[in-house]
Amino acid sequence: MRLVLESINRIYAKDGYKTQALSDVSISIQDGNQVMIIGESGSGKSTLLNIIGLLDRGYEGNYIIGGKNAKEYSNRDQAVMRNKMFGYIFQEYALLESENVYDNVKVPLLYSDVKRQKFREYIEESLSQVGLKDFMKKKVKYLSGGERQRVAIARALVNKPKVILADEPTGSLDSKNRKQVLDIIYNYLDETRVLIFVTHDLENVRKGAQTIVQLKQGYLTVL
Amino acid sequence: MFANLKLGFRDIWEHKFFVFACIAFIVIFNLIQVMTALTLYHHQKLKEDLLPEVTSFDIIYTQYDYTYHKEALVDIVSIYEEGAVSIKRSTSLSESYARPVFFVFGDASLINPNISNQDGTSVYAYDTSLDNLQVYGVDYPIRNIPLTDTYTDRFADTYILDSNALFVVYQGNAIAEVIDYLSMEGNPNIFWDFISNTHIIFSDVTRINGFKNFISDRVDGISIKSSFFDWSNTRDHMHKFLVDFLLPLSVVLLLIGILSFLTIFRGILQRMKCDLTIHLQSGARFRDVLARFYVFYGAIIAVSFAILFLQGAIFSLTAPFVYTFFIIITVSVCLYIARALKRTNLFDNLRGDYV
Repeated sequence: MRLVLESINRIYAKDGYKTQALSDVSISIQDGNQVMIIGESGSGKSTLLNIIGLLDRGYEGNYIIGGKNAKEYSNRDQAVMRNKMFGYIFQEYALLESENVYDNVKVPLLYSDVKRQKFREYIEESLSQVGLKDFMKKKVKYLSGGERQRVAIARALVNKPKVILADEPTGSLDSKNRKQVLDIIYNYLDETRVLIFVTHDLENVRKGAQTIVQLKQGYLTVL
Repeated sequence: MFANLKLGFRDIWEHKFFVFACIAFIVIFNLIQVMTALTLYHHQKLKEDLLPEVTSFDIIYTQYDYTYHKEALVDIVSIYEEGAVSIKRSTSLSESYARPVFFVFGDASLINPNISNQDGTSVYAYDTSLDNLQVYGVDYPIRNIPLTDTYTDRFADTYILDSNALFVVYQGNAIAEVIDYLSMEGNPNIFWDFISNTHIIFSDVTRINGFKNFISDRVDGISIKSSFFDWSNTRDHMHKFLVDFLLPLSVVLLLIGILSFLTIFRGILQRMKCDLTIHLQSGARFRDVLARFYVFYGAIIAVSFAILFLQGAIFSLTAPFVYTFFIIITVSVCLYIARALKRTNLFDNLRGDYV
């Protein structure tokens, strides 16, 4: 599935102040692409990722998904796409702290068409991918940072999404955990799956056809 | 839907103190309202029930002895033409006939509506065992009246309900004549008894004032400490308390409740924002989030209603109020939550890296 962003502008307005987060950003992403987005803090990386992941609709410009403008999709269709097409991984894990690993990974399945009886199978498979199958009943608040991030990845992968949106997923991890997380993400990829990776650190770049783009004060440059 | 239900109940557990506080507030508020409404209702009913009834007076001495003139007695007779009566048991006649015999001065229909209001002297009885009654040397034929029609709660003397009771009724000028006669014939306190046993229709303020004025202007040595006016003032105080205190209290409570709800709702929304964002980015729709909130607040409302129901606070008299309250609060909460959620950007905490 092709993702095309054409002249995207995003302005945040708060308390009378306006901040231009993205300025005239255009990029085209094909099946199997790995796009590394680099840039300083506040350069608009997360904003771009949120727009691509259909989490932010307050932009101007065109975002074409599968030949159709994203804004033309109904709320229901957008929710289905967030559920099936995109897998989100955030730097600070975004986990339900009071729940156990199993319940955290289960969240996307609640809104999918996977039958309830199949939940366990899906969750076990996903947790096996990240090496946490034995942690299913453990509360996430008792896990280490690396384990938490792996739970977040298991949740992102449980519905087998086409597009992985990773927002600084290794930002809070030590080198050992960073390697482990990157291995899991890159092992998931194949010729059709897309990775969009926001990072400060070019060491995160691995094998395969990679497009590296830089965001600077909202402007995108292909390196 | 089942998932949303489950998540809603999980939210309840996680915010149990807020849930408990909400339930307690709704229950207490409703109980105060129900009690206020009931008190107002009973107060109004009491007022309606008592208005056609009679009032009596407390007479007190202001001097060692009192004096009055026969002319004054003639003047007061007009007060007793209708809506006023004085009733006194005759000790001597009661002993003579071995049954309660009452002197009734004035409008005796206040005792039993079958006693006709006409000038002169007449005698009434419930039973038919006697044909005549001799009063101070004069024979009077006895007319029968049904005991069942006698007003039971107007007079303190329960002997008026004795099936053997006899009523010697004086109306018009006969009142003044018999009182004057009796006071001359060794019963000097008959005037005192006549005055102190007077009952006047509660609503007849003109007659009551006329009676009061008569006592203060035409009789020396006695005065009225009117229980009627004291009682009336007491009722006014009750009404004043209900209207000036309880109703504003209810309004203030309601405002505090709305304000607390809004503040706490926003707090909870803020606390749940990360949770909701995770669900939304995992494929939840707006209606899923809404359903969770509806389960959360629906449970609070349902439990409050159940508590009130089990407490017996909902019955025919209070049901319209309670049902109206719950319909209003349910509709308001539903509309408010839908509006508030629509206006809240649940993804704005994804800006930057701080989910």
